[in-house]
Amino acid sequence: MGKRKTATAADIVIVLVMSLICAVMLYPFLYSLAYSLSDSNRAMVERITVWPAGFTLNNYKVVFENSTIVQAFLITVLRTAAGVVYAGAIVALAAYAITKRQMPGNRLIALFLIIPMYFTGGLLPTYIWTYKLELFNNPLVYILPYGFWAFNMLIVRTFFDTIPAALEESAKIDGASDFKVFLKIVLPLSMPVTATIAMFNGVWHWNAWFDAMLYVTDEKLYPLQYLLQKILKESTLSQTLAAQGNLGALGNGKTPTSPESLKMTTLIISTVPIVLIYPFLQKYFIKGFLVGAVKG
Amino acid sequence: MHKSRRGWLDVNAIKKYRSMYLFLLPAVLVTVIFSYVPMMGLIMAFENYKPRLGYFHSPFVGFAHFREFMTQHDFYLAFKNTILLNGLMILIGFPLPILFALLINEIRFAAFKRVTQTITYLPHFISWVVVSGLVYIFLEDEYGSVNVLLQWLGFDSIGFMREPKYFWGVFVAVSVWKEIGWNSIVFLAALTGIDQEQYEAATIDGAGRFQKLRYITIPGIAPVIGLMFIFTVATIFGANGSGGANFDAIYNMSNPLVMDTALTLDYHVYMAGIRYNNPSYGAAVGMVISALSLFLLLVTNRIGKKISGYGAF
Repeated sequence: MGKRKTATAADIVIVLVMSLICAVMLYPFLYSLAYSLSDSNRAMVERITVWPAGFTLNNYKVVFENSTIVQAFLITVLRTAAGVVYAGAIVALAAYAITKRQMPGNRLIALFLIIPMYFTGGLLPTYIWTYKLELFNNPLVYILPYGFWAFNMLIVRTFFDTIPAALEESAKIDGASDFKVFLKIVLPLSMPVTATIAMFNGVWHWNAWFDAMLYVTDEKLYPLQYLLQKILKESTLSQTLAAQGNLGALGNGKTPTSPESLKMTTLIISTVPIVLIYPFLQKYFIKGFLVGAVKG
Repeated sequence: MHKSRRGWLDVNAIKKYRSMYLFLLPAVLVTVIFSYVPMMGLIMAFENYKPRLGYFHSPFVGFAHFREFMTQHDFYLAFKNTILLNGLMILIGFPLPILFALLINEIRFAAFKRVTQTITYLPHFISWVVVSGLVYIFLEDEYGSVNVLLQWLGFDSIGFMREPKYFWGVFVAVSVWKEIGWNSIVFLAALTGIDQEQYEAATIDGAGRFQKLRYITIPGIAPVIGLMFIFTVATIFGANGSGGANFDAIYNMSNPLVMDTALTLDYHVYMAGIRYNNPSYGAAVGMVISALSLFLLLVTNRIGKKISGYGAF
């Protein structure tokens, strides 16, 4: 491949088609960003595409001064951080142990851990059990149940299998404990897969809302996505929140933030953190898929 | 090692790996508490479960709830919608990422290729809450960009999110938009695994772009296509919570006006079991979904193994 130096007609068509697809992918986000940066009054009457009408940071100021939204943002950040560490540690430890094929009972334990991938109790038994565990309106409900995905363990195991056993053995001869070998040798060599798993878990936690809808009625514990869902679906909530934000701004000559602008701004805030992170991890998760595809 | 060939009751071997058992303990605990106990909880599907009475004292009713949903209009509607909507998703949503991967693979400019990939992965990372928010904004009757475009082209505006007949089309289109890039990764990975010498040999023999595609590329990724097809078909009942018309997507995208086409099985479980407070009925339907998913997985896996020699397990 790559023998031909000049671009053929086919190459040009491919580039054009791809550019069009990229535009379709990006446009909704650029539009929302432009809207959130626009003066509320002008956004309502002018047609916004990708450029703000009457650039202002006022909407962001209103959103970041709103204690309900800031609280939800904080809850999401906390649950994501805690969830990533918790699930990452459990999965990595289990995957490392599962690579020890000579360990008695290895296959049995692996099977035990993998079965729930294919058969689950389902929504209602889980709901009832969560209630019995007294996790309703308890922030731990966002973290404790999501400690282990067998699928992630299989990905990590595939990676751990590629680490030469000689490395571990020489460390053990030097007197290192199993835990030390895991922490000081296996983990540092596994950054690609650790980052991939952390990203999978992080994105999942960041975007989660269903558990909040099921188990949480205390507004102080709402995560950002759930609050956003309510803002988008219930027009009264966006009106109330916008009105709260505008109270302080009364009489300072600024355009008040409209419910629409508040929606757009909250939507952008709940999206940007992930958008900023995933491109840096791209080469890792692609490598992860490569290992999977070659093995499959 | 030589004398420890006596299976898993070998005390010396168990001692040797004792820290490994300790490493597995948290995973086993979490799995028991949050997966196996709810599985046991499926007993409630055979009871008239009352939280006050618990699993042991709620009245046992046998298969009453299973007979009940056979008579429920909503269950049939949800079953039909699940099958048809997912069928449509497979018909359209499955081939497109393969096509997309082939197109990306044909890009000769490395930087452009990388940027294209990054941009098309973006929607995958966005929550369904945000995506549905955007969909409702863009498909709004008067000011939504899509209807503005339609009117500009001389058509009438369409009530995309108000009429049941449009829901499947919108849903499939949005799902494709969200996942086409992400779902192409695995095929791209398979493409890079094809031996490059085959292409060089074909070039020498005078093969063109399409001949190479037909005789080298497609056969080269066929096993991965087969494997992914098994996974896709096996998850149509949404029990695994991902892929297809899953609850997260359906709940956010739908509204009461389009329920006739938007009601799927796991939505039905949620509505009947939790909203209308009939937990045993919900558990019964959930159990059937779970069993159907498992059955589908085993069947498709068997077929896949027969055809291509590849299976998921």
